[in-house]
Amino acid sequence: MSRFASIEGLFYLAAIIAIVASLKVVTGKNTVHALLYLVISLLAVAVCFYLMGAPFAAGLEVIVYAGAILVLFVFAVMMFGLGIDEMHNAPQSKGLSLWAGPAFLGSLLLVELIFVIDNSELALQLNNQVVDAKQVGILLYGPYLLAVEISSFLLLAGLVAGYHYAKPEHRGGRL
Amino acid sequence: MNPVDKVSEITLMNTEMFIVLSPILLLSFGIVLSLLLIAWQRSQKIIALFSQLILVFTLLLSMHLLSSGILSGAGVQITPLLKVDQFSYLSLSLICLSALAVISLSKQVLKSQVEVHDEYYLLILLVILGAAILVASDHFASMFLGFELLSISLVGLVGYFREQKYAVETGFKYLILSACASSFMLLGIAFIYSQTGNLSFAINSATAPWHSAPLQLFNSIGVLLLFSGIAFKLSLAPFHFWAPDVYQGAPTPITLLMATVSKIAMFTVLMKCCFAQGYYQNDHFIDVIIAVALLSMFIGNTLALKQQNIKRLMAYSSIAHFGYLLIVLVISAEQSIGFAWRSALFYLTAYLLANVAIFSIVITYEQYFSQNSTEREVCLNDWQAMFWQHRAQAVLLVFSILSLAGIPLTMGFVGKFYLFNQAVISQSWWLITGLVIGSGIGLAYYLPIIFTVFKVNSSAATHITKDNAIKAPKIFIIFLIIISFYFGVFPDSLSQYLL
Repeated sequence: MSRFASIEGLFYLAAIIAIVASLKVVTGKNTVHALLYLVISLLAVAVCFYLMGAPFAAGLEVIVYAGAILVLFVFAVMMFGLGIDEMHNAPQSKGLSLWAGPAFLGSLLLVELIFVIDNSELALQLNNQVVDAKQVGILLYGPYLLAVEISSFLLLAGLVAGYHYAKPEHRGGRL
Repeated sequence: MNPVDKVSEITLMNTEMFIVLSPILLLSFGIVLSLLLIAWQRSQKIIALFSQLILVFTLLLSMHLLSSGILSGAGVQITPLLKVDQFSYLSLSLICLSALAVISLSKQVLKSQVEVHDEYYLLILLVILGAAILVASDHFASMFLGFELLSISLVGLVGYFREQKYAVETGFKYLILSACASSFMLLGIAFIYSQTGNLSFAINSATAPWHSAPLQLFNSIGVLLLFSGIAFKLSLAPFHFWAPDVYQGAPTPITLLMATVSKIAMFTVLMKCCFAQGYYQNDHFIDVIIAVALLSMFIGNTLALKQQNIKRLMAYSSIAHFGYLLIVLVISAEQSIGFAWRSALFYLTAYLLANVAIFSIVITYEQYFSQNSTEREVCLNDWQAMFWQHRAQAVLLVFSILSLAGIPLTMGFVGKFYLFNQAVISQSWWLITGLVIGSGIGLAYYLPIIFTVFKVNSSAATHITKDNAIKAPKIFIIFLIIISFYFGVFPDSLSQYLL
């Protein structure tokens, strides 16, 4: 029991959940169901970060990926209006089986998280080596300032390239 | 160690660092300014001119820094991320030169389209910025960011003419494969980090604990994955499948950009990483390099043999050339690092000049086809009897082909001679055998191009007579001929400048 309940054991459990959920994402036929597993995968990664003593990164993972990016994905799926394709791959049964898998994995993560927070010994171990938001900020705006700047150019490149591919085909002559 | 303690040890940017970094800063400032310019006035002429201006200034600035001697010695470390030495700026100068060629060739291609192509020039500048960060990087994080910046902007450029036949397919192929390459690389970096605990290139030594047996496995896997990610971009042999398709489908100036800028930058960072980390002391790594080099030489040259499409042929030939170039990574001692850099940069210069020449001729022919509303790709047969119709172009073409084939009195020969020398010093006989046999096979497809150019055949597929030919800038052609001839005959004048 003690071996399993160590931080290491919990970390591997979360990692396995992440891998299983990711496999379900790429093997799933229906986009929305795949996205459901993607949320689980991202949450599992967040738990991994938390167990490694990086609560700030874990929080970002939840807010940015599981929150914002996933909303974008759902938005894009709705916008494309896949219609027939989506109907084609829609599951026949409307029973529990669709959300049982993600719900099970998600509740496993929840149990794990509650266990860590509840167990005072583990919580103490985690607090020993915490990298908090302040330290991350100091590093990003100190020695790694150039990396932040380069990332901004990277985003600009992605934006411009994406805009070019997505803009309407014919603009009608010279601007 | 607590990250906050580390900060106090590392000095933040000071004036010297700003001066040394100025070409890259100028480039990024130029990108921001060109965004403003687009907001103010959308005009293709102005934006093209402005991009060229930025590149010229970047080129002059890096040349000036090279000659000022501020970079001599071990180079200047700028924050943990970047380290600029003279080789970085020599590569950056090469990159700027080829970018200038790309922009001036693009102007001809884009003339025939109706839209204003602001994004095009912006993306080219972003590619150059990515390449500049790559050649200056001294840290896996900046290397990865530069790599991504380079690939993502290239994805936008590769499928730029969306209405053309292969554009979207090519763009997707490049996007997916370069994403694969980056994920391989990222996994490799993670493995290396798991052993070394540091992402800087410079942290390594032969006695470090991760070279010993129990830890060696993960470190080796990490290095291997990292190398395979870079090999994707360099289109080395087991990872070369995307190259011909993407070369063919991309707009020709962008093909030139991929063949020169992206490859020069990736190769420079590969050399920096290998030499700083001391991978040349690792026998297994050297074995992998030798295997990949031999495979690239053989596969690249063999696949080019029956190729009729010029752009695909150039793709295969570049696979072989980067196979040859891998020889410089196989060095036996730290003393030969300087010579390795010199050989690599000389070879890259020769490769760059030859590629610029050949692609500019391909663009001239493509322009001719599109003006006569028979839009198609340039095949070998289209070049029949070129010598009798366009003297200057044909002479340039012959020079470049001879240089790629490595015939004496051209730069390519001197470059190959350096590589040969390098292989002899490190006593890697397999590589010498591969180089000789590969060059032999290479002649079998380079020489037919020259024969085609001289062939007198009235039933040629295309007749481009004097009056309806596209006027390629004569000065440009003559300049390229003189440069490649001069450096071929007097290689010292360039190579003494390289060190």
